[in-house]
Amino acid sequence: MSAHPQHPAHIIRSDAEAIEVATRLAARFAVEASARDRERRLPVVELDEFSASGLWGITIPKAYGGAGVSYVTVAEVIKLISAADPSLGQIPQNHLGVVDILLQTATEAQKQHYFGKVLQGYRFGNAFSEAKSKNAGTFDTQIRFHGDTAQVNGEKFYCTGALFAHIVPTAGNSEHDQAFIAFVERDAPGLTVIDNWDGFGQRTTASGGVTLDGVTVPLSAVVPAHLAFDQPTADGPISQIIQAAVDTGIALGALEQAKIFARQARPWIDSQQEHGWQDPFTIAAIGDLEWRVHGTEAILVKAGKAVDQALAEPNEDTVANASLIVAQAKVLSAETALLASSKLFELAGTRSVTGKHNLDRFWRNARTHTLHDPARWKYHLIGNFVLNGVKPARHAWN
Amino acid sequence: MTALNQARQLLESTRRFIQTSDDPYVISRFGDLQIRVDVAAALLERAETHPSPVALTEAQIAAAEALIFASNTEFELTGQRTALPPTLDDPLRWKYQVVGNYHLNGVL
Repeated sequence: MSAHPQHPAHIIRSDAEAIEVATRLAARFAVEASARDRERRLPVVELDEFSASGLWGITIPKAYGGAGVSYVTVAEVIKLISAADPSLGQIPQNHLGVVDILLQTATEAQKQHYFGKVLQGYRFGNAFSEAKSKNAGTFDTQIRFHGDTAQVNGEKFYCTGALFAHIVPTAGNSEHDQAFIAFVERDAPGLTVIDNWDGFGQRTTASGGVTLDGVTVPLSAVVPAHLAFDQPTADGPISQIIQAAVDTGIALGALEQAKIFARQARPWIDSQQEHGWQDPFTIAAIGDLEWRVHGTEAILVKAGKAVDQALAEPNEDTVANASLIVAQAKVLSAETALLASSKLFELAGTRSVTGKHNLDRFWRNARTHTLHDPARWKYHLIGNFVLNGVKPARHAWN
Repeated sequence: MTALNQARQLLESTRRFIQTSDDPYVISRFGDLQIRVDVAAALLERAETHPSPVALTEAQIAAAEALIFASNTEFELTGQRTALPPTLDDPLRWKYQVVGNYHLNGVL
C-alpha cells in the first residue's frame, strides 16, 4: 500500500448526498460480500472506491471544505454499508475517530493539513490498541520527544484499517504518561503492518498487528490526544456510535436474509400449512425481530442527535448525555445483531446452514465485532447515572 | 394510563425506593430498564414521524415489554408489586403476528 491515494476523492456537499452515495455503494458492496468473507479476500478495490466516493471526508467541518454532516447521517452511512458488508463498515471507524481527534486536539495548521489530505482521499488506519498492555486503555508504546521530532516504539494489535491506510495514526504515551497520537506515513521506515488477523468474523478488516521500531516523525505530525478526554468532548461518543452503527447494519442484513429464507422454507409438518411463511410462530418471530431492529435504529438516530449536541456545545452534561444514549444504541445493536443472526437459521431451517449460502457470516461478524467493548458494562454505565447520578467515565469506549 | 407512562412511573418509584446503591447488579438492572423505556418512547416517536402501517403496533409491543420488565424489577428490588391494568381485550401475543405478517408477507 502506498502512502498516497491513486485518485483524488469526490467531495460530498450535503447529508442527503452522503446517504445517496452510501446507498449506491452498499448495493455494489453487497454483491461479493459473501465471497470476500469466504475467501478472506481483502477489500482493496472496494476501499479505493469507498474513500474516493468522498464518504471518508463527510465529517470534515464546512470551514475546512467538508460537508460537516450530522452524526445521524454518519451513523446511517455506516449502517447502510455494514448491512452490505460489515468489514467495510468497520474499516473507516478509526479514520472517522481520528478526524474528530484532530478537530479536538490539533493545531490550526495541523487541521488545515490533515483535513485537506482526507478530502483528497487519504485514509487513516490506526495503531491504537495493544494486545499485551494491562487493559484496553493503557499503552506500553512510547512516544518520546527530541527537539523538533518524536520517536515512536511499540507493538500494536487490532489495527483495523492500517494495512489499507495511507497514514497510520499511532497512539503512545509520553514520558509524563500522557497519550499522544503520531501520524505515521504508511511507508515510513520502522513501521511494519502485519496481515495476521485470523478472527472468525469481520474477516476482511485486516485487524492485525503493527510494530513501530524507532519510527521518527516531525512534531507537526503529533497531536496531544489526551486533551480529547481531559476535558469533555464528543470524541468517546463518536467512536462508540460508529460501533453501534456497524452492529445495527449487521442486524438489518441478517433480518433481510431471515425473511428471504423464511419465505422459502418448507412448512413444518404440524403447522398444517401449505407454505413455511404461513407458520404462525415464524410470523410472530419475524414480528419480534422487526420491532427490535426498528427500536435499535430509532435509538441510533437519537444517539446521533446527542453527539451533534455534544459537538456543538461541549460540556460535562452534553457529553455525558451523548455517552448515555450512545451506550443504549451499543447495547441494543449488539443484542439485536446477535439475535437476528441466530434466529435467521431457526426460521429458515436446516437448508440455510449449507456452506454455499455462507449465512453464518452474519453471526460470526456480529459476535466478533460486538466484542470491541462489553455491553454488560453499558447497562452499568446507564444504571449508574439513573440510580446514582454518576456521569460516565470519559474515554474512547464511552 | 399508557403502558409506557406506567413503566416510567414504576422505574421512578423503584428508583426512589432504592435511593442509591453500589451493587453492580442492582445498578445494571436500572440501566436495562431505562433502555427498554427509552426504546418504547423512541418507537412511539418514530410511529409519528415515519408512518408505517404497523409502526404503532411495534411501539405498543416495546411499551408492553418495558412495563412487564418494570413490574418484575419493582417486585425484585422492593418486594412489592403495583397492580397492572388488565390487557385481555388487547392481547400482546397477536401484536407480534400483526407486525410479522406485514414485514414477512406484506399482509395487513
